[in-house]
Amino acid sequence: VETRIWRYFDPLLLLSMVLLVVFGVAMVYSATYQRSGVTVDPLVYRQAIYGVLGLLVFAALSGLDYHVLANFAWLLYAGCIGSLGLVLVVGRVLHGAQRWIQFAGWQFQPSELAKLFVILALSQFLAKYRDDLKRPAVVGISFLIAALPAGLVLLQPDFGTATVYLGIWLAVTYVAGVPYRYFLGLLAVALAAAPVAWLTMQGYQRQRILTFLNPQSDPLGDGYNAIQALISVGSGGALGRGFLSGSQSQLHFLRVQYADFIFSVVGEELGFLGVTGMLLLFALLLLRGLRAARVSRETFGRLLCCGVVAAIAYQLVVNVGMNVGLLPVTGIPLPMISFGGTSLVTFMGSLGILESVIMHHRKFGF
Amino acid sequence: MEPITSLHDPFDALDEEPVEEDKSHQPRLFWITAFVILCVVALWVRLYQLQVLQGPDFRSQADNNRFREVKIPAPRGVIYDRNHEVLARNRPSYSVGIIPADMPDPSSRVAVLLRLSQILGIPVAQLNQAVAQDGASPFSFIWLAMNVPETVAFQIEERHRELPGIHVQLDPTREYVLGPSAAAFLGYIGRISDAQYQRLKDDAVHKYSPEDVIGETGLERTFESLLRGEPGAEQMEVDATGRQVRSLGVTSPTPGQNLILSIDAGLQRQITEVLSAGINRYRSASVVAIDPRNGQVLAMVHLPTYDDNLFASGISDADYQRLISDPGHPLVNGAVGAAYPPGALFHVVTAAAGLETGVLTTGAKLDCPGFITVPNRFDPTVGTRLLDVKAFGQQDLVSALADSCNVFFYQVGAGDPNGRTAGVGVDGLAHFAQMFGLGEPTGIDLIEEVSGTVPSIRWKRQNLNQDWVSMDTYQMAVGLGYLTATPIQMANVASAIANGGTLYRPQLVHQTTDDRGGVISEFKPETIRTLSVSPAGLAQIRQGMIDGASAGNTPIGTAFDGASKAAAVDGWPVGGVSSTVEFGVPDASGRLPTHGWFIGFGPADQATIALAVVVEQGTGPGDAAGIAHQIFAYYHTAAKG
Repeated sequence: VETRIWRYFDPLLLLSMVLLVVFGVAMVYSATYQRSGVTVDPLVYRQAIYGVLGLLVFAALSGLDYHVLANFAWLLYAGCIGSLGLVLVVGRVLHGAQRWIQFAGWQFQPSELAKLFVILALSQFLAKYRDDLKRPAVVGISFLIAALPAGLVLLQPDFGTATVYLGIWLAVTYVAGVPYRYFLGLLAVALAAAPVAWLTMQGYQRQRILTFLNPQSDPLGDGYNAIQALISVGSGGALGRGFLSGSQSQLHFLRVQYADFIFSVVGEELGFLGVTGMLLLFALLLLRGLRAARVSRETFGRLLCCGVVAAIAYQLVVNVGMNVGLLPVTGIPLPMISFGGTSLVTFMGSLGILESVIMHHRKFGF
Repeated sequence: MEPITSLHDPFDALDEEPVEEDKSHQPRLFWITAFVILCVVALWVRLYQLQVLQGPDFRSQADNNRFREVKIPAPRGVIYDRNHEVLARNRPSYSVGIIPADMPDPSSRVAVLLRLSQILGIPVAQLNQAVAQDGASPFSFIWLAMNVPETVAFQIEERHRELPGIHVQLDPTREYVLGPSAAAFLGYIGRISDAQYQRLKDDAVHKYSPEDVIGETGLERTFESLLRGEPGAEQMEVDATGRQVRSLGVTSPTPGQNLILSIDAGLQRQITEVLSAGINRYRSASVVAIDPRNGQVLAMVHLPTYDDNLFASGISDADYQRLISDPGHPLVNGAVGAAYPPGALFHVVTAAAGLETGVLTTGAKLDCPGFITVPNRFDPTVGTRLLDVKAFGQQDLVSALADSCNVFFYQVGAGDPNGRTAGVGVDGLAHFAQMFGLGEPTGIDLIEEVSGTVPSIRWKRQNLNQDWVSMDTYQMAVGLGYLTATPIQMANVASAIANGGTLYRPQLVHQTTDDRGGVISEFKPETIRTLSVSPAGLAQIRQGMIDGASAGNTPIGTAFDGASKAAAVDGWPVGGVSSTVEFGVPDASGRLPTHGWFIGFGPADQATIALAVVVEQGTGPGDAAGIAHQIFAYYHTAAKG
């Protein structure tokens, strides 16, 4: 009986994920090529190791019956809130934000892992109260489940990641069936709060929004990355400048191009052909994830899938959007492509849970 | 491949007992799927627009980022004296500056400037100010420090990773070896002004850029287009911090042409020394020495002056304010840029005019009682008495010149006051003054030159709206009144008399050479005109000047006691005439301040040097001739040595 479930394993989900991870390692290689005089930057090895680690976590979580996770959802959530609090106290400051916890030579970014745990907790909570979704208290508590880590992340400060939790909440509560009036209400509150938010924003955040509206206002300062990213992507043309041959990337006109701006390297070196391929892989991954949601016969699994798909889709859209000048620059990495160990392992593990949902869809029910 | 649609979904087939019949979530799952697809398609459309439709535009923007053309300035031509002694050269000096576009971001600029401030030892506030003041493009080089020591320059280069955007440039700095002595005619270079740049930016040969230097005054300005040369350029690929990744091609600069001047640096130095010794007593002093055989300028000194090296490395505001507010006008080259009444020097012109118009015949004598009375034009019974220094008695042309006898030349120029004989008249005097080159620029290679004034009836009407009166003619005959001349013009007069009547265009530049010393062009002597004065007439004028500058007796028996004899040099006969011109307001003892003039030539028979000396507000009539004596003495000794 236990081996029978592997017959339902979704190979396309695994394939698209593995291709994206391998592609990501290749792009990190290009983005860091001869950055400090060596051909293969240490970051490339690290990203590859994280990829292998992610695959192991993927396999383990695929095999694990995801219902077990429901039992630990709150414990994991509590742990994630704790570590987000901890990072504010002992975290390592890098690029002006306190995001990393140093642990035995490894860095670990709690806000990435927290995405999965928020999805777990939200799904568990909404599945449990699926018949009471019209109650303001239920909707309110679900919102707090996402808002609490978002608030802690905002203190780091990491505005971009904080918005990911909101994206997850929106997608999960929407699919769970929360009445539309709550979303409209939230929209109204957001519009009313916008002026207040503007006034309480940090200077750099306000500047980023202003710069987004007009990057040319400060071409060498805040607008620099946005403009150079646009030039990089555009200059790739239809077929790209060739792997390791993008002048924008290889001559470092792009900054921190192995992280948030890695898409610009893809765009420049591989061109429209390359980004189309990458988008197709993402589309395949997301559609297989949504299929998992559809085949799941119970709310918890379905919401888990939606949450994971939402997180990946949101980051994809926001990251590419900022690289192509459609959205303001917020520090959100491109899932599985940008350099970042915690993020990579978390997403691969999350996709492992999706496989588990697919494989265990018939076995349990409430 | 596994089909996605639920119709063929294998899981549905295996679905024996559905655990959940509630399908209420399905519409929302559909919409969220549609939304994800929509978002991905939107990104894809945007990428199509950027990469396929606008790709070429962005491609050229990316190329603008990485390709940079760096101009290689051409070494400015070196200026030598006639003996190939260096007068102006280029000394390499390190400049440190910033290219804002190469800095990673403005927030780190503070840290970079702080580090740089420690290396350079310049307060960071000063660096900030320099960066803030410059409104040029972010890709241009903003000077932060010039003349930086080599060790400091190397240190900055070594630490370039910590100092993004900071660049070290090897800039040639102009060095004027003689400094103040030659500043009056060499001039100086300075940073090009906005107005100059706007005028010159389209010059395809000289390729000016807003950071360039340009000749501002003197020969540096006149010969700018030869001295500058043709800048080259290096096309290179650079990285984001502006460091060169590889060179794509170099166009070598063509160095500027060197100038070989006719100036004799030794004479120039000597004259500067002589004038400096007495400059405290004068408002200003100028000397021009010309070779009468070809018009080449051997020396040109004007004091007070300035050190042109101050300008070469960027003059400070304080220094510049001090120079332009100095009452002695040190920035004006008075040797060509100031005109004074020549006084008795003009006797030589009146003499030539008298001889050529037939007013004066050779050997004719005129009575010089020490004064002349000019009748009032309305009431001839009332006269104005013009006094001479003394009564010279009977004078001929030669002795009158030697004695600087004004009364003689009053009569030649304006006639006998009682109408017994006619003089040359204002028109004739003006004609001969112009023939000798007065009233027009000599055409020397300095745009600072002024014309001076040769008055005429028409001139007075136009400029003063007054009638010409006979007194004006008397004044003009002895070089007073409205007549003014520059030292270079008067030196040229002396030169033309000495060489037998050829008025040359004075030239400062003799040759131009390339960077290997090969002659590119030779400046041949240029004749402005040949004087319409007979050789015999000129010989008499020369003789008068020679007698004037000698000790002894005149041919008609009186002892020379003119001021010109102070110029005499033992064993080396010279000719000369001096004058003392009163001007301004009398002092407490009723005496007017005076300008002292001298023109002359030597050696008397075959002159190789013609001189003009003027001391503005000199203390005595012998000043100018005394200065000429020292110059002649040095020149004679140096020529012998």
